[in-house]
Amino acid sequence: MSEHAEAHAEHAEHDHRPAYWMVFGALLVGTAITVGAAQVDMGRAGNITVGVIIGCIKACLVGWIFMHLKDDTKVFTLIALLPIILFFVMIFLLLPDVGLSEVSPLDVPKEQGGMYVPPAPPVHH
Amino acid sequence: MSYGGAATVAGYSIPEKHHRAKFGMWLFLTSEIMFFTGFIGAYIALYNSSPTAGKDACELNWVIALINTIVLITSSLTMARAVAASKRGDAPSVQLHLVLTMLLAFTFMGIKAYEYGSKFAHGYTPSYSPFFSAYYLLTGFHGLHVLGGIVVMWHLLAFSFAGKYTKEYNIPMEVTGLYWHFVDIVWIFLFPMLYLLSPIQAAVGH
Repeated sequence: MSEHAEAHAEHAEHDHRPAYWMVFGALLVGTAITVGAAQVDMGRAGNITVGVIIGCIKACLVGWIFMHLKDDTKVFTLIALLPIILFFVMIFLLLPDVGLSEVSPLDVPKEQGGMYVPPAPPVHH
Repeated sequence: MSYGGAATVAGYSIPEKHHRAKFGMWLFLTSEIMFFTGFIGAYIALYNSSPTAGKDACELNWVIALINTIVLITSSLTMARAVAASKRGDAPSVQLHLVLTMLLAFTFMGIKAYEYGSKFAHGYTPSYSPFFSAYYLLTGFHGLHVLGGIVVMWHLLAFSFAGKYTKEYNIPMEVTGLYWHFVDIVWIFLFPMLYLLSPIQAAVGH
């Protein structure tokens, strides 16, 4: 049996129930803060930053307690971190396109050489 | 067949097998994170290059999505409790919490179906705009993951009633728990990203 497997067997006996309820409460509070923060106009970048930070805190709580990263071998944490780092790298690579370009071809009407086609109005019943 | 008294499963000791199964699930979740990363990247690019995205996002009902968020968070709690119960060898508690998790998952899908139905009725189909295309892509694949979770939980429930899980052998419960919490984490990010950025800001502006 490996060290990790032994560590797992040892932790399996822990009673996590109080911690689960605390995380559940924290997730509800986090959701309320997310909704509340969205109602405060902090500028587009400000609202996005706050939303991402609260989301990351909630995701960490779920991962750390519900998914047992706190008790498991840290190899699992490293495995989880790798794609998360790649996720943020990809999002930052997108920023020059979405944040720095002032005019998108989709903003320019077709008649003026752009790609913008106004959508048909929705059908209301 | 019960593995409760078995010293080994497929040639490995149960704790070793448990560790390997969790390792495999984490690798799978890694690929899942990259799967959704691509779609989220597409959403960001489409949102920021579409002049109607902000207006389209205002058509979504964030209150319904908030209810769905609470439903999914609660299902994560019941799933965590089901896994904890399986480690104590408490089969009735496992079954109760699995049923609760499945009911909450069905509630989530029911609310999502209602939401899709009302959007389609008003003409907001995937082809209506880049925003709605990305919205259906993200929420649709997330919904498929919820459905997949329900199918697996159904099997876990049947196996639990058949007495296949014990205090010593509960590997399928734990790895399914990891998957279900991942589905919850994806929604934790989708909720503000899709529903909160534009609609509430628009309301504040009025």
